[in-house]
Amino acid sequence: MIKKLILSRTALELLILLGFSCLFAVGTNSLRPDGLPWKADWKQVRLEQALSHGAITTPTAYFLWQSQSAIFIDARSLESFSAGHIPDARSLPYDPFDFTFSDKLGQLPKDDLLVVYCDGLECSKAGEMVEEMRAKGFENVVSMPEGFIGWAAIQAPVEVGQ
Amino acid sequence: MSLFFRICRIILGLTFVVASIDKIANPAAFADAVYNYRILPDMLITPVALLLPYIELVCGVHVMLNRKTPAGTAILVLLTIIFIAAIGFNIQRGLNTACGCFSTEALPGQLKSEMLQVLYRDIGLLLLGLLVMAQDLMTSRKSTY
Repeated sequence: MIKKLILSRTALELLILLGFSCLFAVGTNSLRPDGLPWKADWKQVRLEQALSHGAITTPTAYFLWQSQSAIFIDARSLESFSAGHIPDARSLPYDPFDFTFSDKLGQLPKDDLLVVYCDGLECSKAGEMVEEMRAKGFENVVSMPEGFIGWAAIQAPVEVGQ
Repeated sequence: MSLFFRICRIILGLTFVVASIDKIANPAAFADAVYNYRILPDMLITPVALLLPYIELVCGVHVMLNRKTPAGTAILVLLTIIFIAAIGFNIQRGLNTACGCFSTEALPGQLKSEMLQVLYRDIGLLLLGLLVMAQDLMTSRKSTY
């Protein structure tokens, strides 16, 4: 009986707390001039953000690849790279916790334009790798946020194997 | 002993209240931090980014006011378990997400050691929450007699 009473009181307070939270969240969001849309295409938001930070679109990357004016770096795992990658791309799997990564970067030329990609908009490795590379003195490095998925979607050539 | 528990409640509640302020002030930046965790589908990112800070705020205040039921503490404990699971999951799969716990500032990804620090801090917070919840349960039982 006592347990039941405690449970019902707790459940009531849980509902009140969550109700107030919902009320505040909905209320303030509708009153704010910069309120968030409840339904947002976050992939599109992410793409626009990346492009505003100097990333390039897939068609631009394709143009660079065709004119051989950039070196493509694949930040995905070696396994994903072997399954399919941009022709002539170099595999450099990005692991933010790998402390030997700086040494691996040393193998890349600093004067050429480097285009880093991973899977697609769901994958943040390319953007993070570009940030790390820029911090380590690479000035000519950009990411291709739509990644290998975007590359395959425009039916650009793909190479399989290492 | 009651002073000890009162201090525990204040620490627990205040931690969540402080953590909520920057998220409430910068909902777009917090939504981006939620997106960075790569755990939720797109349709849940905005609702979670808008609702979560207010749950932290309301429950944090509720816990500090020393109410007679464990409702607020239970929600905070549940939230802490979710945070621990999310951070642990991302460490395990090699994603270095900025946690967005106390600040929504767009920092580059954190190092594993920093993410582990966040994880240990959350485990400490969970233990504190469980302690306060146990005391809440005892208090609510006594007050019902």
